[in-house]
Amino acid sequence: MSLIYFLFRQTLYFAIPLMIVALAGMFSERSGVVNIALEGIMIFGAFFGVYFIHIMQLNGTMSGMTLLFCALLVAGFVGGIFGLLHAFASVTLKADQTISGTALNMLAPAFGLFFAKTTLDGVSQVLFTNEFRITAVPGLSSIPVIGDLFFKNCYVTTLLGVIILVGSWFVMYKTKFGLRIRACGENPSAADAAGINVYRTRYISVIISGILGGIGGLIYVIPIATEFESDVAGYGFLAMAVLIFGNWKPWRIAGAAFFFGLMKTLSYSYTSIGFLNALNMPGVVYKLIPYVATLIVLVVTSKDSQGPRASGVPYDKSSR
Amino acid sequence: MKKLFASLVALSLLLVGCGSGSDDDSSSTDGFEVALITDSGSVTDKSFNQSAYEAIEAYCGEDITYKYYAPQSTDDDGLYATIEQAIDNGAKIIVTPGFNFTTAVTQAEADFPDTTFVAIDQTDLEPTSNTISYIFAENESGYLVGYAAVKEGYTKLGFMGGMAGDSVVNYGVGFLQGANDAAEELGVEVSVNYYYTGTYSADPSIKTACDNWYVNDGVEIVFSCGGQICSNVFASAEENSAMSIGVDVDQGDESTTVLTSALKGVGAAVTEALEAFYNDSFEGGKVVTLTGSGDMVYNADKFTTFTQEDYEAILAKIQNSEIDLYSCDDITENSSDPSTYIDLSNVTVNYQS
Repeated sequence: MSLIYFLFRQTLYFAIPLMIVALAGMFSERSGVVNIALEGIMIFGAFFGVYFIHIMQLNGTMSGMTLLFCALLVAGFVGGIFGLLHAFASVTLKADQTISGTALNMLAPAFGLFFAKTTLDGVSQVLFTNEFRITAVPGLSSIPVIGDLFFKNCYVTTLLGVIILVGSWFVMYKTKFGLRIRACGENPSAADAAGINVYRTRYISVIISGILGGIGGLIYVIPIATEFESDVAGYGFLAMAVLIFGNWKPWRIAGAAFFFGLMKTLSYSYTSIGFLNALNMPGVVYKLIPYVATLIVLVVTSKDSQGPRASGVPYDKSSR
Repeated sequence: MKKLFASLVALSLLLVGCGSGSDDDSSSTDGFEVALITDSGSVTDKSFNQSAYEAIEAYCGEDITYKYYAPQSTDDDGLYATIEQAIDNGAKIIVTPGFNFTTAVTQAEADFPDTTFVAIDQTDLEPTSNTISYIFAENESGYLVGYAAVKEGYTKLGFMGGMAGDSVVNYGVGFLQGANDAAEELGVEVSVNYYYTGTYSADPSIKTACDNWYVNDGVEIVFSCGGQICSNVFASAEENSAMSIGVDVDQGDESTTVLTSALKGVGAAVTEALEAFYNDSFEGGKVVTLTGSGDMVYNADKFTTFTQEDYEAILAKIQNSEIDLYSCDDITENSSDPSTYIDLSNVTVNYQS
């Protein structure tokens, strides 16, 4: 049983940030802007979030949950700014969205390293102390099974991830604004004709995407490291895969993120899982598990998978 | 538009001005004989740069002029340009710490035959007659931390290596051998989980693998041996209230879980080179494997059963080369599993491919 708790906890470390960043991608792409810059946004958000934590911990100004929430705000804010850059390039300037995204992906780690080195005495790693893990939530952790699953060695960010998931679904499917986003991603000309400001909708969507991406970046780095060197190991791109795997829909994205997280966990803890270890295959084969499993699921499910129709096409009013 | 262009030109002039002006504070003196070029990181980085600079400071004192140069960019061209700058400032002997310098030093040692170069930890460098190259016997410090960990009472260890290159393998086999010798002395059985991550960058999967060791295999202490992977190992150790061991430099202030760190004798290498240079006994063109410099951090407040005397006794044995150590040269088969090429009586290696 303790093995199951272990696997669940590890899965969350992978799945929550992947899900949040994939939802970030969903907002952007459903509005018609391909957001390949997710990796860069993650790095940017995580960098400034961690930097903020570093400074606050150094001066002892803030600590605990207050610090975590402020850091998340910082990460979301700079993520939003970074998203704004992408929106400006791809909506106002009508640049190729892939190229703009790639440029931002290259900018983010370079900027992070430069900023760290110039401000932290030549050191590129930003140190932080992880004081945000909750060993046991009083009361709730003594509930059998559920307490062990959710309320021991947990992070508030897990709850935040769930809130973001529900919120995204609500905004996307239950509000007027969500309908407008989807319209702009499917048929911007029709949306424009119906009186929706396509540019503004896309701007807001990409900024939301940046905010979520930045938050996702910080949530990614907090539980797994003690320092940050402007690198998220390709998780922004994995989130894009999760987005496509999840068919651009919130609940499916969540499912895809958890599936991928679980597979990733299995592939790195197979030695403790009886039947997997008994297969006695080379380590590389186990590491392939998440990717092979995803491929198989994609092959089976991708028949009805379809992205937003206008995604990647800059909207030009005059071509209506 | 014109205005914008003009202001851009002004801005670029300003930047160029800044770029060339910052390091010219030395022109008024006669020059600096001993130069240290720092790698990425400053002379207070608690790493190679700092060790090298402190050794230079200690040796030169008031008698010999010395100066350190921080390259504006740490690519090959930037490092080479900084070497040139140091020579223009009168450097006779230049210390270059870290493998990053390999290309720049290869070029500089040919271009400036009258200048002496000290290369630290550059395993791929081929030194010419004006260069001496120091590499380290990592198996010595690996041995010490392995020995210390088992003597301290740990019986379930882990080794998280970066890529299976010479220095990581050296640390690894030294670690196993040290653990084995200590286990033999104590008459206990020790198990070591052994894994090469295949990367030197931080990755969440390394933390998962490490969590798995701590939680499900009962591993008590993990030797993190490869660049940024320490970040994941330390995070995992903190989460599971377990211990870890740092590498290359004292990593004690990166995490409270660090019991000790296996060190490279950068300072010893610099001192040896400077002594040879100023006693006219400098012999260039050779690669020196600095044996007997293996060292670790003895944290008196963290060790409880392994005493300072125990440490000094085993350190003396290492420094007098009384122990026949395995190294990366012992790899015979086409296998990365160290238990296939070294003899271990009391240690079981759980090798993870």
